[in-house]
Formats: sequence, C-alpha cells, structure tokens
Amino acid sequence: MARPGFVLEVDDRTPPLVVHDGPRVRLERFPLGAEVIYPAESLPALDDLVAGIDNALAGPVDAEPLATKLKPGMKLTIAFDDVSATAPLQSPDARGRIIERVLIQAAGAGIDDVALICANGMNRRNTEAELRRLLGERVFRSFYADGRLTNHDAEAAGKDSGDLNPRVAESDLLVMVQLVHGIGADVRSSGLPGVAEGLGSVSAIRSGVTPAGLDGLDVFSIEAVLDNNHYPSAVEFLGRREWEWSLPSQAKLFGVRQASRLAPARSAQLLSAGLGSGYHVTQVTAGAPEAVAAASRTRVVEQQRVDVSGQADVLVLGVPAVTAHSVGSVTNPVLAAWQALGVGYNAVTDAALVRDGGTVIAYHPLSQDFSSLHHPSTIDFFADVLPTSTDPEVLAADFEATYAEDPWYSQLYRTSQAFHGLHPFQLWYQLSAAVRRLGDVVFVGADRASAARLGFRAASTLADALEITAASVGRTPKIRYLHTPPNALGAVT
Amino acid sequence: MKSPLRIIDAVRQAVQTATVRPLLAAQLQLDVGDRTAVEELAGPVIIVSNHASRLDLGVLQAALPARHRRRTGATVGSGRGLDPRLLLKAGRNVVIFPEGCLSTDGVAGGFGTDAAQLAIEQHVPVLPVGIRGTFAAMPQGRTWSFGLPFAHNRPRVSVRFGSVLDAEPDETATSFTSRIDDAVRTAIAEDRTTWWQSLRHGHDAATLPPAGSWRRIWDQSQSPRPGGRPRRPRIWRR
Repeated sequence: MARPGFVLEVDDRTPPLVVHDGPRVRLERFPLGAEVIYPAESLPALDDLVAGIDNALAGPVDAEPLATKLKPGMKLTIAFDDVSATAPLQSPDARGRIIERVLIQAAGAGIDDVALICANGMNRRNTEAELRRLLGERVFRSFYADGRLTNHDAEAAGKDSGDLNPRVAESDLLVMVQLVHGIGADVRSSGLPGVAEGLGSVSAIRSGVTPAGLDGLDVFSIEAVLDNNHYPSAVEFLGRREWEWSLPSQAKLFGVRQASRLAPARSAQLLSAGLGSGYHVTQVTAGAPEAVAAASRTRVVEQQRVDVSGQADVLVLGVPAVTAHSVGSVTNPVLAAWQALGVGYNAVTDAALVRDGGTVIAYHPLSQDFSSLHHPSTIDFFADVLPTSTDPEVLAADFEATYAEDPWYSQLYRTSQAFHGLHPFQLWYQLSAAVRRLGDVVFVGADRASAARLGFRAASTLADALEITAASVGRTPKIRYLHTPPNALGAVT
Repeated sequence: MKSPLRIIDAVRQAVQTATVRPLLAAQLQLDVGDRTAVEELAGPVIIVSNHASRLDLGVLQAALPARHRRRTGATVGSGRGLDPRLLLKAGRNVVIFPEGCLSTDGVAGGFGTDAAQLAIEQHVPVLPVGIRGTFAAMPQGRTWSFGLPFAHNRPRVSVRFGSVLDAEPDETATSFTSRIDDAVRTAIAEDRTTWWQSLRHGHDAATLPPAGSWRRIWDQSQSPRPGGRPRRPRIWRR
C-alpha cells in the first residue's frame, strides 16, 4: 500500500534530515516546529509495460486506434522528448519501448518513410550515446546511419514550415512520445504546448505563440507517467524517511557523503545519471494531445500531491546536484537559482507554499563552475549581463536581442552540444517571477560573490539565514522544508 | 539430497563460469541484442537456433540472462544428452539445432521438424535465436586458434533473440517449423541489416550471395559487421 505524502512537524525526536546542497548531502537539524513536506511513496507500476503500451495504442482517448491511422506510403514522424527536462535515463528506457511498439505497427502497415526526431526545442542536442541509451540499440541502429534520426534544430524552423520543424510540417502523422514525471518548469509540457516547445522555431518558443503549422497537423500523443522512485536501487534509501533507514543504509549514506566531499562533481554525476534511475511506469495513455495531457496530469497529481495547510513565512529548498538542464554537465549558479526559484518554488498545484513577501532559503554552493560545452551563453550572461542589471525588463530590452542573433551561439547550438543563446534569459525570466513575489532569497553555504551577482544573499548556516531574514519575517517564522527529490506537489488548503 | 538434475546444473554452471565464459569473452566480441523477450519468460522454453559452428552452444549460453542460463539443459541431437521431454517436465530449457548438423557454408540450411514436434507435444513455447559470426570464428573442421585476449580485432559474434512463438491449436509440425525457420532467419537478418528492415521485409531484407558460389563462403567467413552502420573511412590502416 503506497503511503501518501505527509507533513512532519519537527520535534526533539526528529533526527537530522537530508538536505541536498548541490553535490553535497547535508544532514540538517531543523528548528522545533518547522514543517517538513515528505513526498508520497510510489504508486503501483504496470506489471507488463509492453502490454500496457499495446492496450493504450489500441484503445486511445479521443482518437482512433493507431493501427487505423497508419496507412501505407504515408509520412510518419515520431518525436520524443530529450535527455534534458526528463527523468534520468534507464536501460531500457520506456520511450524506446513505446517507439518500438509504434514501429512494429508501422512496419505491419507498410510504411517506409519514417523519421525520428528528438524534440529538444532550445535545449541542447543529444549525443549519440544518449540517443542509443534512450531508444535502445534496435531503433537507434535502424535509423541513425541513414540520417532518419535527428535532433530538432529550432533555428532551421521558420515561417515557411509554419514555425515547426520542416519534417514535422510535411508529415501526415506526428506521434509524440513523452515521459511525464512532474508538472513543473523542469519538465517538457504535455499536449500541443509540448509539441510547440519541443519542435517549434525560436520565435515561436520565445513568444509562446502556437505555431501555425500545428493547425492542420495530425498529432497522436503517447505519454508514460512515472512513479516516485527517483533514486537508483543502490541509494534508494535517500527517498525514504530518515527514521526508517536501516544500518546498512546509514553506512551507505556515510559513503555517499565522503565521496561527495572528495569528488563532488563526479559523485554527483554518478548518483544522478551514471547509476540510472529506479523509475517505473505507472500509466501509459495514448490519443488526442489534450486528453492525454489531462490524463497524465491527473495521474501525476495523484502521485505527488501532498496537502499542506496555509502558506509559510520561510520556505527551505535543497537544490539537487543535477538539475534538468545540467544532465551530463555541471550546475552553474544561474541553473541552481532557477532550480530553487523556478522549479522548487513552483512545486505546487495552486497557491505557493510560501506567502508573498516571505523568504526562500536554498542550499547550493553556487560555485562559479560553468560548462563551456553545454552552457556557453550562460558564461557570458553571468559575466557581462548580470553585473549590469538583474531586472528582467532591462535584460529583455537591452541584451536579449544580441544573444538571440549571435552567430557563435547559434553555431554551437546547431552543431555542438550547447543550449541556445537565449537559454539563460528563459531561466532568468522564470525565476524572476518568483523573486518578484518574495521578500528575501538566501543561499546557505554559497559563494558570496556569486550570490551577490545573482542579487541574493549568502549565509553560512541555516541559523544565520534565519537571522538575516528576521527583519522581514520575524524571529519566529513558520518554516517549511520541501523534502525533494522525489517530487512532491504542495496543495495549499 | 538434491536431485541429479540439480547437481548436474550446479556442476555445469561452475565449469562454464570458470572456463568457457571467460574464454569466450576474451576471444570473441559477443554482441547480444534485446533480451526482454527472454527475461519475461516464466516456464521452460525450447531454444532454437541456426548451427554453423561448435561454438554455438557456448555462445548461446553466454548470451542468455543468468536466470535462464542456469535452467538451460543440454543440446538435443544425435541421441546424446538427456531425454528432452524429461528436461522440459523438470522445468529446464532445451536447446535444439533443427538443421541437424553443422552448416557447410555458414548459411542456415533446411530445418527439421523435431523442435516443432516437441513443442506441440509438450505445449511449450519456442524461442528463435539467430547467431551470426560463429562460422567465421571457427568453421567445421577447424580448431580454435587462440589470439591475444581482449584484442581489438577479435571476431565478432552477434546473437539476436526473436519473439517467442507458440504453436497454434491444431497446427502441424511442418507449418510450425516454417514459422520457426522464418523467425530464425529474420533474427539473423536483424543483425545483417537493421531491426527496422527485418520488420518491414522479413529475412528477404538480407540478400545473400547464391549458394555454392565462392562469394558466399567469402561473405560468411568474414567477421560480420552489423547493418545500419556507415562505412567510416579509416585513415590509419592496421
């Protein structure tokens, strides 16, 4: 029986709790009376994934079965979401399984013109190894050498292809395969907005306007909803409540903390991506994009919803080592701030977990480590743009156009593994929406210069952070700690 | 007191783990395809494969997942080994090479109906497997010539599992055999071309040189490259 998420009130028997501090794993003692939101345990997974997929394809919602849509000689395009903005890869990945089942039906229907596109939108291109792990060896080897398996290039999409990927615009049927493990800003949206985000042109994604090419396009969505087993089985104790850890788990935690002290970046990568993840699929839905999106959202909320009463004065957030946009890379300060304020702050179904004018205390070292391969424009954004101003209106007016048109960023995005030049601006707008509503943002254990550059404060310990914010929230604020990952969605009642 | 079968299993496991499998790993480049069809199997199954070399059985056992490897009994053929019916009843998998004898030119010959007959009688499914490259590694009449362990140019052997086949009710052994034959050839074609090509065109996707021609032996005696890979031009010739 999967236990639902719950809210723990810290008393003197509560042990120190795990807080993710970037690559470090802290054990923090919270003040008495603080609330801790624990995520729910996983819902039961599908016994037979392949049968689940086949049933979904045969009985879709709001659409005809896939077999009737597949006609010989048609142009079929299968798009799938990328390595960023999704759960860590597993071998075999659920998307690969779904695509295999679709291809088996397509082969039976006599379709030869099939293309596979990774809908990465303005995220970075996926490497060969990532695509191979994602799709499985069979699908990868069948399509990659012929050039039928490609990453999406947002700069190649333009007005003449309806602001969509050219191959998608000329297809008879687009099958969109997605893995859903949340509803926040770190996950590719479901339904038609997800198609626009993943396969649209730069102008369409930037402005949020629906691409014209989507009007006449036949889209068949397939979404697999994941459970809450975020951690691989080797460290699955990190997803359980601290007072339920066995002795071996405590020993493993000691090992993990030592490893993260000795080699923070490497151990972070290993824990999050190298060991894979323990996710299982709990539901597969297929059919019309809106109906599938609604069904997936219902399931995700069912999995992750935790009822909390009222809004807090102080919200404490741990930032995990690997964020959505730093898969296979390092987490720079801008990404860490986005993870706390764009994603953690918005891990809610309705109202925010902290009141307007309240404080967010986040944990991350904010060390000035940038990946020049993956985030070249963020390096310049942090060095040149942020010292001038942190106001999103000023950034949009003065700097965004330069970054959008820069030929070097464009070259790196189109041919290398870089995020688009506008990527840091998108992150900044999302986190600014939260900063505008908050009073103070304090990073514990962070580099002071980085925090100041971002426009936030830095403190050495939680007690110091609470001291700093005492001016705005008082000496005895209501403190709430969101104990993620695994994901939890606060429903404020 | 363990049953004799369990003792035989344990001894065979120990011998294989100590000698055969490390040797195969060091001397061959074993490329195993998608194993989910095998991993999901619950009961005993008849494993059917093409037979091009004496390496086939060892390669097949190395390719199976651990749980199934322990349960795979001896090969059936030429009256050797235990009675396959007894093995199946005891929950063991049985390996059968329906060609009956080793292939003379590397390509799978005609399939006998023994495996299909057994599957129909015992109500047991059949797992088709396509093995490619063992003829090039060690054809009939040759003994193994040891190369350096884990060399970069050791022969490649590919093992591809097809989907499990069940006999239809009232199906004859002949028609079931032709289905199994098709499945094994398609599994071989999955490596020779790509999975998608083998789905679309079956084993016709893989065009072989005509039988009896020198080109056939030439083609089969080279270490097989997987389909779907572009020819990369080599700058340095080794």
